[in-house]
Amino acid sequence: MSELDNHNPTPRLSEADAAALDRLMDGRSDDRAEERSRRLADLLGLLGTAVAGESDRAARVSVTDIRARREAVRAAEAGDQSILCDADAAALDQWMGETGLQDAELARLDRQESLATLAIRGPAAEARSREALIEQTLAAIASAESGREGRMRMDDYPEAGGSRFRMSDLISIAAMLLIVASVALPAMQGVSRYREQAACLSNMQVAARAFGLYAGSNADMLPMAAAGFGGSWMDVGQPGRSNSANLFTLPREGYTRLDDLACPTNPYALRGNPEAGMMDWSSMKELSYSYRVMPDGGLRMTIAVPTTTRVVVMADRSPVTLRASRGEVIYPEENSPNHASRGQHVLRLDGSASWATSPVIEGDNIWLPRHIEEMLHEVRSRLGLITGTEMPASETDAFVGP
Amino acid sequence: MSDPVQPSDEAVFERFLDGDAAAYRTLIERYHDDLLRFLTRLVGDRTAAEDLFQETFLQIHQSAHTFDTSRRFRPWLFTIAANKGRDYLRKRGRQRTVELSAPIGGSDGSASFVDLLEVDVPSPDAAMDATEQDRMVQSALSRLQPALREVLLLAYFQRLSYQQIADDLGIPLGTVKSRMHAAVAAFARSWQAVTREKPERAD
Repeated sequence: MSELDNHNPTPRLSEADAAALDRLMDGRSDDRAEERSRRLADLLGLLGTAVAGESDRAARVSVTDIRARREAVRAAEAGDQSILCDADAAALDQWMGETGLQDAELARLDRQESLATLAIRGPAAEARSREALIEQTLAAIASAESGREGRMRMDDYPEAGGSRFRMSDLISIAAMLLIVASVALPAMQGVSRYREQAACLSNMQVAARAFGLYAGSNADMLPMAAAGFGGSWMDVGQPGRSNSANLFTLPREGYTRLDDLACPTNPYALRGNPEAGMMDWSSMKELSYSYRVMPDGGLRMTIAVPTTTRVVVMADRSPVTLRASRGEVIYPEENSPNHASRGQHVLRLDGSASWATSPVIEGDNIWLPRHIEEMLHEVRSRLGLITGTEMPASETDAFVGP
Repeated sequence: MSDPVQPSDEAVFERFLDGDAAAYRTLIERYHDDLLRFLTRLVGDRTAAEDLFQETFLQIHQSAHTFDTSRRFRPWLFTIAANKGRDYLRKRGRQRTVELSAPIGGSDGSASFVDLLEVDVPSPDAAMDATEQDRMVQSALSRLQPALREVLLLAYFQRLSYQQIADDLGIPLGTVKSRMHAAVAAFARSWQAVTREKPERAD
């Protein structure tokens, strides 16, 4: 900024310019030939200047569209139908009824969305070379889809025209995103994965320092917000009982920024500075990392030395609690959804952060408490007890073998 | 089959409300450029603008039933986007204070007059490098106080008249006018500063 500008008093429009502006705003400006009006129009026209990278609009439109639809599906699943208009809810019900859209498909849409997001998040230079290809691909799919007569048509409005909801709408979105992904990935996959994982690992290291600082001024304790849990610690957004409120202590008290606890792969991650009085993330989807479930009385950083390397304090968010909170079946050995289920970063009590391709670390599943792990082990070992000598319990007991 | 007259935004939105899923995509496409530009200029951060773009359309989707279809869609969209942008800037908080406190003088009552005839503004057909212009516009806007920047951008992108803005915000017409005058003057001055810096940068 120029020195001149720093010391300038408040600028005001000359009377003639102000009058020209008033005419323009009131729709009376017509005389573009008049030099002053033209200048004003040119000046304001600068506000519409294109921004870099906006040309990959097809991918951005698709991602936005699918996110809106998916959120509607999720909201309906969560029982919160109040945000859907009646027509939308009816269309959704039909859709769900006809196609049996399952959560696994939502998860796949999530992944496809995140892949497509890469197409609009890359460096501008790369985007330029991709954009034509993406556009062409999407256009080809769109025209192929529109050429097909709407099979499985769900809605038939008397005025015809475009007022139809078709299975092909869904199929085309899914297909588009798949193809966008397959087009975009070969060029970007390595780079983007590397960048995301590096940024995430860096978050872990920042968090490690923050845990140390916190412990230093809080009698060696790990962050803890609630005196005790009076309900489910999975209730993110309920700081009186949620475990995430414990982790939120770090940004709340200024030990980290929210951005440091936001995995770059989480589009919903809360960023910036926490608002005054904020005690927790507001929902599970805003969370990027899972924090050790705090026992009553908290946990000291300095527990017996040989075990400190083992104890995992924080990790990429748990798929188990995520599924459990949605009432879904859990898969104990599933990797975190943060990095396309390839693995997860783990931060241990000794401050070391690393990448693990399985949640079972040194025999301990980080997503589960020991007693559930033992139950699982017991069930699995019993399944292994089939020796080939068992018989069906009765004539009606279904039991097949090789 | 061709339809020479595009259906209005409001008509498209009604189709969406009636269950036409494709209509929503039409609106996203229709507003893609303007909304992305608006948000990028408002928050000054391209990645954040991408997120806010999506958040805005999510919000519209979720609040669809609250929209009064006798009103115009465009101002509603940009009002929601501006709210999202404002929230984002507020959350980002102190990180921007240096930049925000930098521009355009104090409020000591003294004023310098801007005469547009003295401001060098490229005409739309001027052969100016797009990337350079993008950078210069963003730089000029970043020097404005946030409130002025928002007024200016909303006025430009919402396409509302003074009276409509006054009605919409529930503030006196005179206030709307004076804010808009101040915003345009501030933008003209900072654009002037940016264009003057340009040759220095090249040297």
